[in-house]
This record gives sequence, C-alpha cells and structure tokens, in this order.
Amino acid sequence: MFSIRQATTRDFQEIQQANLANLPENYSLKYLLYHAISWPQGSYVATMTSGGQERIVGYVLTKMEDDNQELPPNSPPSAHITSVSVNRTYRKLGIAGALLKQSLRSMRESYGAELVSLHVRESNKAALHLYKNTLGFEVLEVSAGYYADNEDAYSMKKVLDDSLIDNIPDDQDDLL
Amino acid sequence: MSRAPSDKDATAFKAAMNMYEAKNYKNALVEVDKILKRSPTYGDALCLKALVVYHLDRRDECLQLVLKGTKEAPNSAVAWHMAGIYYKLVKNYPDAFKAYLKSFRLKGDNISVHHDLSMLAIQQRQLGPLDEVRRTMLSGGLTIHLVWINLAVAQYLLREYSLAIATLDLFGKLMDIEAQQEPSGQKAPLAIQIERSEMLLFQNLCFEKKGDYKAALDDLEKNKAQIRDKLAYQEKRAWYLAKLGRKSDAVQAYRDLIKRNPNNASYYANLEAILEITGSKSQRATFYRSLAKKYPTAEVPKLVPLSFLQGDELHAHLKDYVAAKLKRGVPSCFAFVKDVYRTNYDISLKVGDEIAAESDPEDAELQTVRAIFIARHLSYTNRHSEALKVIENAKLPEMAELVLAQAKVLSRQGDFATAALILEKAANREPGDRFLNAKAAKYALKANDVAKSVEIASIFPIAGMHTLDGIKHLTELESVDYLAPLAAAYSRVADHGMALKRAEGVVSVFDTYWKDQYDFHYYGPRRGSVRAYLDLLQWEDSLYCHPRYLQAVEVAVKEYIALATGEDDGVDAETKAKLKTKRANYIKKMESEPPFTPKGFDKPEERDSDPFGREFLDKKAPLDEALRLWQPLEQARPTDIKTWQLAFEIYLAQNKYVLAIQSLKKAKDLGAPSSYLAYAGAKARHQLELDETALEVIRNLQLKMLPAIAPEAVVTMGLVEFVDKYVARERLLWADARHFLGKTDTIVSVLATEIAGDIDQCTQAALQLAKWRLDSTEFNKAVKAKWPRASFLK
Repeated sequence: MFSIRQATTRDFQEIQQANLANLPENYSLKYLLYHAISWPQGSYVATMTSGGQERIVGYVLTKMEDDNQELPPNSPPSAHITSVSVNRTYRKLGIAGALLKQSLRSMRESYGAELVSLHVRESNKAALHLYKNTLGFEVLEVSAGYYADNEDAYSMKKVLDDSLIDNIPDDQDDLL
Repeated sequence: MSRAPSDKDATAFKAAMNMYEAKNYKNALVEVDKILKRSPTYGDALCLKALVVYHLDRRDECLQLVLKGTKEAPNSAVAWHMAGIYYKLVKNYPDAFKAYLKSFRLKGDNISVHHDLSMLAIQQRQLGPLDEVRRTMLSGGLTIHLVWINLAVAQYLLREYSLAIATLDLFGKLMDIEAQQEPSGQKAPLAIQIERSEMLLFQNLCFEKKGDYKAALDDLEKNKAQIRDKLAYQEKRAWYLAKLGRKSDAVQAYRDLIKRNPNNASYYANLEAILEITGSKSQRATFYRSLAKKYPTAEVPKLVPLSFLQGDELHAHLKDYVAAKLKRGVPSCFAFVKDVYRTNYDISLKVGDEIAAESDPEDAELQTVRAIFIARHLSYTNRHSEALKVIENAKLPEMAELVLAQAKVLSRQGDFATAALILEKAANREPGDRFLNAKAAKYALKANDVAKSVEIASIFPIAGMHTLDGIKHLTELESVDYLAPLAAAYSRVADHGMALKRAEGVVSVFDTYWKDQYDFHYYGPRRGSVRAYLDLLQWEDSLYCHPRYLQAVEVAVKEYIALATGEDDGVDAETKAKLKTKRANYIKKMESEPPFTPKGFDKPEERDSDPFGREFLDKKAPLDEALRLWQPLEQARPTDIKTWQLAFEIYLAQNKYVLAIQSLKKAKDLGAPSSYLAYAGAKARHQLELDETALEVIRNLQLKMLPAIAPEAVVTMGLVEFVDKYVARERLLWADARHFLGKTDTIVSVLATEIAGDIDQCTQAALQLAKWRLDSTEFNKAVKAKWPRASFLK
C-alpha cells in the first residue's frame, strides 16, 4: 500500500537513511531530531507497504526560519524547505508535489508562514519545473557555488496564502 | 568514613571552587593540589580536581579521582554532585544518574542538581525519581514554564493522566494570567500561540490516553480556536467521533480528511470501518470507485481494490491499473502491484502475460518502461531468461531504471557479478546521482566485491577531499543502511578485522542515537513540542530493535565466537600472510605521509590509527564482547527467536551449558522450528561430550536437560544418525551439524541434489563449502546446471 502522511519523530532515522541514499547533502540524526522537535508539523513522508513492511520512498523536511540569525527583525514568518527527495524509481507519480503541498499547508496553518523559500541545483531541471510550474515558486536569484561541489543553486520563493486549501466541491458523491 | 575538613581546607576548597566556576582552571588546580597535599583523602577536593583536570585536557586522570573522591566522601552531596557532572561530561548517563540521585538524597535543595537529575532520570527512564524531583522543582519557582511541563511529562509517562491534566490546567491558568498582562487588544505573539496550541494538544492526548473519548472530544472542541495544528485537530476529532460511535459525524470528518490529503491510506481504512463495509466486496468496490472518481490524481483509492477484488473484477482492475501507469511511463509500476502476486498469483500471472503480449508503443521511453514492468513480471514468475531478453530489446538500454531492473533479474539468477558491473556503469554515466551510486555500492557487496563497493560508496562522502576512504565519513554520517551490510560482506569474505570494525561501527552509531536524545529532554519541553518529544522517547525505547542493529550484532557475535574458538575460516596461510604484509606496508606508507588538511577545514584530518580493525582481533575476551553486544537484544527483542539463538551460540562457546540450554528453551517456547532445536541439541551434546573440563556428574545432569528441547533421541541415538533423522529438513543446518561432527563425507552430494533449486541457499552453501575446505565440484556442477549465470561459485 502507498500512503502520504505527516512524519512523526519516529520516522526521522529512516528519513536520514533515505537522504543518504538519495542526495549528497546529509544530516546527523541529532540535527534531524532537532528539526523534528522544532517544527513537528512540517515534514511529510511517502511510504510503500509491501508484505507488511512500511518503507519510506520519499520525504520533505520543512522548517521555519525562526532560528535564522541572519534574517532582519520583523521579517514575515518564513518557511524553508530543508530537503526533499523521492527515490528515483518512484518518480513520475507526482509524489514530490503531493508531499510539498501537504507540508506547505501545515506550515501555513501551524506556524503562520507567509513565505516559503528553497534552494535547488541548477542542473535539476525536473525539480525546477515542479517548483515553478506546479507549485508557483519564483526564482529570486542564483546563489553561485552554493553546494559543496561548487554547483550553483537557484534560490526560490513563494508567497503562502489560503489558496493552499484545495477547492474540491463538497458534494456527497463519494457517499454510498 | 571521612572526617570533616578543617576550617583551613574548607576555606581553601571554597576558593578553588570559585576559581573553577570562573573557568580559571590553572589557578584552581594549584589551589586544589595544595589542599590535597595537606589532606589527600578530602573527597570533595578530589572530585573537584577531577573536573579541573578535565578542562585542562588531562582526561585520563579524571575517573580515578572521581572514584577515589566518592569513596573517601560517600556522604558528601558536593562530591557526588561533582562526580555526576564528570559522568555527564563524558556522556556516561547511567553513572551520572546514580551520582546525582545520591547527591539529591543527601541534600535535596540544590536547584542545579534538580535540573540535571530531572534530565538524567528521564534519560535512564527512572520514572519514580523523575516524578519525585520534578515535584520538588515546583518549589523552585511556579512561574517557570518548564517546571510545569516537565512535571506533566513525568506524570504522563507514569500513566497518571488525570494528574497530568490537572498540572496542565494549572499551567494553563498561569499562561492566561501572563497573556492578560500583554497590552490589551493585542494578539499574543506567534511563538506563544504556538506553545499554547501544543500544550492544549498535549493535554488532549492525556484525555485520549485515559480512554475518555467523550472528555477528549469536548476538550478538543472547547479549544478549537486556540489549536493551530489543524491537521491534529481534524485527525483527533475524527478518531474520537469514531470511537464514540457518532457515525455520521465521523464519516463527515474522515471525508474532510480525505479531501485534505487523498493519499493517506489510513483515512480510507478508518472510513470503511465506520461505514461497516469492510465485509462486503461489492460495497467496498463502489466506495473506492466513487472516491477514485472524485480524486483522480490520488493513488490510494485506485490501489486498495487490488487487495480485495477477486476473479474477473480483479483481472479488469489490475489490467487497467497497470496500463494507466505504463501509459504515464511510471518505472516503479511493478512495485505497486507486487503484493497482488502474493494474494492472487494466478490472476497476476495472467494479467502480466496479457500485457506482455500487447504491442510496444512507438515512444522509446514508454517502450522501455513497459519492458521494465514485463521483465519484473517474468522474473517474479520465475522466467528469468525471458525477462533478460525483454530487457535486451528495450529501446533505451542505458535508462537507469531499466538497468536497476536488469540487476534485480540477474541477482535472482545468482549473477551478482554482472548485476554489480552494469550498475557501476550506470552510476558512472550519471555521476551526480547518489541513488544510483548507493545501489551500485550495495550490489557490489552482494557480489562480495568489498573493495569495489568501498570505492563506489566513498565517492560522495569524500567529494573534493583527499582521504583514504570514505567509510570513516559514512560512519560519522551514521549511514547504517550501508555499514551493516558492509560488515556482513566483510564477514563473508573472511576479513575478520574489518567485519568487526564495521559491525562495531554500526553499534557505536546506535549508541550515539541513544545518547542523542539527552539534550532533547530539555529542548523538547522548552520548545513546547511535547507530543513530538514523547514520540522521540518512544522511538528511542525501541531503538535496539532496529534490523540494522541486529544485523551488525549477528556479524560481530559470529566473528567473536570464531575468534574465541579458533575456528578455521578456510583461507590458506599463504593468502593470509600476503594480506598481512600488504596491510602492514599500507599502514607504514600512510604514517609516512604528511598530515592532510582538506579544503575548508582548519585542522588536518584525523587518521585512523587502526584502519583494518586489529584492535578487535586483539580483544582478550572476545566472548565478553559478544555478550555485551547481545545484551540490548535481550531487552529490545525478548520475543524474537533469533535473540535466543544468538545467546545459545555465545553461551555454548563459553561452555556455559545451563545458560545455553535455557536459551534454547526460550527459543522453543517462542516457536523455533524443530529441526533447529534438534540441531542445537546435537551441538550442545557434542560439545559436552568433548569437554574434558566438565565433571562427569555435572555433564550427565546437563545432558538430561536436552530432551526438554529436542527429541528424546538426542541423548540416546548416535549423533550422526540423529542429525540425519531430525535435522535433514533444513539442509544447511544439517550440513553444519555434519561438519561439526566431523562426518563431512555426504555433505557435498546431498547439497548438490537437494538445494540446487534454491538460489539463496546455494549462495550460502557455496561460502560454507569453501570455509570447510570441501571439494565442491559436484555441487558447483549441479548449481551451474540449474543456474548457468551463477557467479558466486568458488
């Protein structure tokens, strides 16, 4: 069975291992636990359960910038996407977009986030397309040599408002 | 019993203490040394000296000072407090807890002792002292938020939910008073709103835990406006309504949740249960059909029917499901339907074959994705060569997802070498893709090519750095999903030092995971995220159940036992000598190179002084090490047969027969298979009979215990005859028994005729035969006949 749900603190060690198997930027568990306990509503996982065993195939970690000393005082509450990844074989299913939508809505509701920012590798065209076209992010600037291997990053932002809440007609069609 | 210090000493001690607290360690040392010269048994001063030299980086002296200090002054709250500080500094939380508790019992009014004891008691899960100290802390200041939250947490953990609710009520009143002091008309700052919301949801959790769903629901509704976490509000509300049997409200609540997240499988399951349709296939089918229509992009409502539909309906649904995925070019299509092969093999087979018979699309990518599905289908239904043919005909032979499928199919035929090779090539084609890199490293392990695997796995952690290998970094990065299989692979290729080094590395990561929680005992409640913090405690409580911990311990236990018993690993002396020289030269070369400072670091890299795990091979009592690693399993996995099988092996190697047999009894009570019990019984008897140190009477007594776990014949029959009769069903165990009995004559031919059809068993058997130095020609021939591509034969 496939499922997308909010991550609990119990998921973060597996998120750590998924991150290590997917992306070059990695985190100690202690940092991830700090993330989990500081912003418990921000992170979501996509899981696949087969033969009774649930396995994480994608995740998004989102935080608030409330621990960012560099932001000017009285900045609007801003969210930041720390890391997002979906196992390569699970692409083309819209999982990353679905994870992000859930996460952004929670950040808006729980923490009153008015903005959300992220960095994406210049070469990651699929992710860029997702952020820009599906989720409505805008490129703010290019951060030169942002990554450890010197690749440039696009710094992206999106304004968060209540349009995050899906507008599906509330009919009774799905009732028996 | 120590005497009270003289006035002179007491004054000097106070002065030294002030210097220590002002971080003036050098002068503090001079002062404390003067005291100790006059009064060498002044316990407080000894403990203070321990802390002072700790900060002067003379850390190897500390423990002795602390032990001596607390021995000389067993009734000094100050000495125990300082001992506690020392243990806390070195993250020895069990001893820190004991020291703080002693200090607290001797003199209960030190606020800093309260604070640390409160953290240590929860770290050690000592709920009695936890509750006691947290109640004491209330007297320290009722306006401190943390005091209230911590007390409620202690009460929650003691399952005193009503008390926790009362504590949080009082705390809520305090927060209300504080809020009123804010200038009127102004909304509370966001951070305070968030903290309040979290507290309310924690309190609500207490109502839920009490099982009082009515009160929980009322509480939730009462605080609706203040609860910011809307998802928690919706989920809890839906759950309580369901529990209270308020069917139509609960249905609406779950429909709202599905609307919010149509991909959460649990919402659908709960909704089905409330509607009481779980027993009716046709109602369930209608239910999911309408939801799939309403949420066309959601996966769950399309997927669930595959688990309950039957016959033609399943056939049609499965076919449509797969076709839609292939049309979109989803490479993981097979993973979504794999479970259907378990529940409805015949229909899966038919559908897959029908899809395979359809004609290919023009589009190269879609054609290739289709080939992936068909190949996995064919391989899963044991048509491996056909599967490979389909892959060969794919239009995009280099598509990584195709190569991954190909590697899987090859592995299922025992061709680990080719699987590893093609994945390495795929990873090289896309050097920025860590997913492929990780897969290539793992497949190299399956092929027992450890050196290659380490080379691949090192690429990302050492990017841009000059260093020996990346595994040190991967250990620092806590990459246990790689390190545990790496340890197992080293063990397979008889590299014992490395197997132990990597297995112990995994164990140390888990110990770090356990210690990691310490700071959160403060941070979690302070931040207000109590629910997330309680989840952390729960996760840590089952930490050592983790399959990677078990995997590492299995490797280490096996290696330590082999080390202790001097077991032959089948590697000839010449090869061993060569490797030894090679490694010695490597170390010499490494030590002669100047220290290297990677870009962006201000200190040179720390060198691994023991790159090949010599330290573990030199352990004086390897079986004690094995037992140390096993102990957390006894706590974490007491109902797992494996736990007791490992205990049996360790105790047997220690000649502790009673404990070994008791472990077997536990395994038996948990349902261990009879062939295993017969095997283990035979092993115990065999060893008892050879053990000349055991007295005859005692030996006979111990033998008498065996029929309680294995067939009576275990003590009456000849052992060879016994294992042939009772262990034969498990051919690998039987072979092992034949080997330890020294009757290896029939092993190769029996394995050749009986397990050749099972590729997993063949892989294991090939390793064992090499280890036992048996001529495996006949076995190899039989395996080759069944598995022409097998790459693991010696």
